[in-house]
Amino acid sequence: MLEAIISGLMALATPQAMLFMIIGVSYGLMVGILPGLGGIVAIALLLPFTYGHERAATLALLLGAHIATIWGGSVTSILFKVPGAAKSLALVFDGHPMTQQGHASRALGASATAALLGGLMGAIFLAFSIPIVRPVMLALGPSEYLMMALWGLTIIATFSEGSLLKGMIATSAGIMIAYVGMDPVSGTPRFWFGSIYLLDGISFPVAMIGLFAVAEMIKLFVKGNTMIDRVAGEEKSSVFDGVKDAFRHWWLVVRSSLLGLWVGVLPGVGASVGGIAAYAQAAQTSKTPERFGNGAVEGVIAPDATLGANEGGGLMPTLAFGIPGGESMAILLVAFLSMGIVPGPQMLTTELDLVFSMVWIIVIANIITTLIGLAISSRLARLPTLNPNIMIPLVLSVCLFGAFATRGLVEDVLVASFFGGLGYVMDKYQYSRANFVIGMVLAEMIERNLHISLGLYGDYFVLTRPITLAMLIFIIITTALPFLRQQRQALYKRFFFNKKNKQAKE
Amino acid sequence: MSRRLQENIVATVVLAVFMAYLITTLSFGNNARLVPLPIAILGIVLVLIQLVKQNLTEKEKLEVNILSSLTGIKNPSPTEEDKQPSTPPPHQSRREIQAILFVIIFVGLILLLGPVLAVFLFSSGFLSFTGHYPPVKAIWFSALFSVALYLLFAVALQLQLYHGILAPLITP
Repeated sequence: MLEAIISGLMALATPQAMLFMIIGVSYGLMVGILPGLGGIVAIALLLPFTYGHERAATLALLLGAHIATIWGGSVTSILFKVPGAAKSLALVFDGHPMTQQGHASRALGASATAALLGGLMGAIFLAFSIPIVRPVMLALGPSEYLMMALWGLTIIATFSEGSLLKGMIATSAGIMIAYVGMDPVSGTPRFWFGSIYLLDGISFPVAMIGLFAVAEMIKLFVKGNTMIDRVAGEEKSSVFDGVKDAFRHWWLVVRSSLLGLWVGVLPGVGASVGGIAAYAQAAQTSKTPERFGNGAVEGVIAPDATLGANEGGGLMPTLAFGIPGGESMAILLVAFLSMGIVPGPQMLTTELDLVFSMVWIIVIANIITTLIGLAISSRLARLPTLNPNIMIPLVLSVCLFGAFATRGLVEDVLVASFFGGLGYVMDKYQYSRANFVIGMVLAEMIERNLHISLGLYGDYFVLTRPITLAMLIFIIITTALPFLRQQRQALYKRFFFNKKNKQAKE
Repeated sequence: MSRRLQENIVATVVLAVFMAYLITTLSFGNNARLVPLPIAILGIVLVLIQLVKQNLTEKEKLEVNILSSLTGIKNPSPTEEDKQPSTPPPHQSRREIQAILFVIIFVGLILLLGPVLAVFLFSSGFLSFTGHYPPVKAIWFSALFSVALYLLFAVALQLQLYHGILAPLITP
């Protein structure tokens, strides 16, 4: 284990890895600060550049960018009241009032420090969870992995934003798309319509570029290229006041980080839920809850600590079981697969040094992000405007060029633009794109493990394997619960309404 | 077009796709359809429930104050910024058509001329069309950007570029 920790760090000590880390963090900060573009778009645009480099260096680029986008997204929430990504929404509540009161630098300083502390806790958690998870993983067979994947799918649908049904439809559609191409078990070509291109299947990176990056550009254009302006007032506090705030509220940071870890570990529950939940627990446990919503620094610290810690928590199920913790983890998983990193028991045995490289990347990238963040916060606080108008042709060009670059096939450009349109429609009518992606990612795992389970344990493997059966019962209960709760609430409302009506008549 | 009608059109298209998927799945062998078949059936059932639900139930009021519902605190006094009426962006469907047209034109240019020339033409055209830059500045900016992309993809990443359908007609 100690050897893996050291070799994981040494893999990052190459000039290429360090350079990629700095490029990744700088790029992530830039993308994160641009409204509408978040971590998902940042990773999707990096996917074409993940081939042919050292693995540790590529991971430094991807994870570095991903971590930096978290704080980048917080900046626009605090300064412009425009969340850089859905997960930064909670920062608007108190971050923006702080900016209006002339405490933008303080809010940015507190935000960067809380994200760093949360990120470090996430990395420590990931490192310490490995020896605990390893024996569990090695004890599980294909049928249990199948159940875990199914649980991942159902829990994603349960926690998806908006309609539960639409979330489940999106998940089914994602699984459906994943089965285009050659069946890996029987070798049967499926849904290829005589096209050799489709025989290879839909490339995940290309679909991601379309679904998120192209769709976001369409959305930005439809919105009308709104100029985001504000009047930058006089600053009444400094960045270091914010740093001190984060350390003064250390217990809040610890609590929020633990929440972030928990949200990250739960498959399918994205950081969007975590940020809001952290804000809610900060407000509910505060002695002065009336300050929340009016510029309380705790309202900035809590969500950022949660978002920072979420990454370490989210990487655990992603690497160990191949079940992404959220939509950004799903894209990271796609990137890992394209780099030849296959999640599963081998990640915690033969590839342990790579996992520790990721732990070190989280630590180093968080430190670099915070250092850059603290250095530029006072300048950012005076930033008067952000113009997303120019982003559309630039990002769209990189998207379609990037789609072509993934396999050197011009058909991929067509597929990316198709998924761009699909992503826009899904977003407009609230069919969760995150569910679609996670469905796509888990489809292969489900099919492979189902075939292996049938081959190894027979047709009634669910009944003959007690752990599998217990997991299936657990899935049924967790899936049915929200429906039952909804029904109970509807019944209660109806009963209450009837009673009220009767009383009114009397 | 009402929102409900739009939702119905989308759900009907999704239903048609799932049905086509189901029919195609039936032509596969047992192993190949082991997972796709139940997924297609599940998809159809879910879309049908969605269609019934969205047409028979009233649309719930979704505009809730997240801050108040989370914290139990009453909404703080609205700022001047909040008091301004939030008007929906005008001519949304026109802009949607424009956006889709832009993507189609860009893809068409890539197919005809290859990505480098397409990026140059699209970027300069877009920046001039939106009035972000005057035409000459837009051309300069786009040329620089296209060169940067060429250096990144063709030189640094050594990607074999696609030269477009028209390339054989232009090159001797």
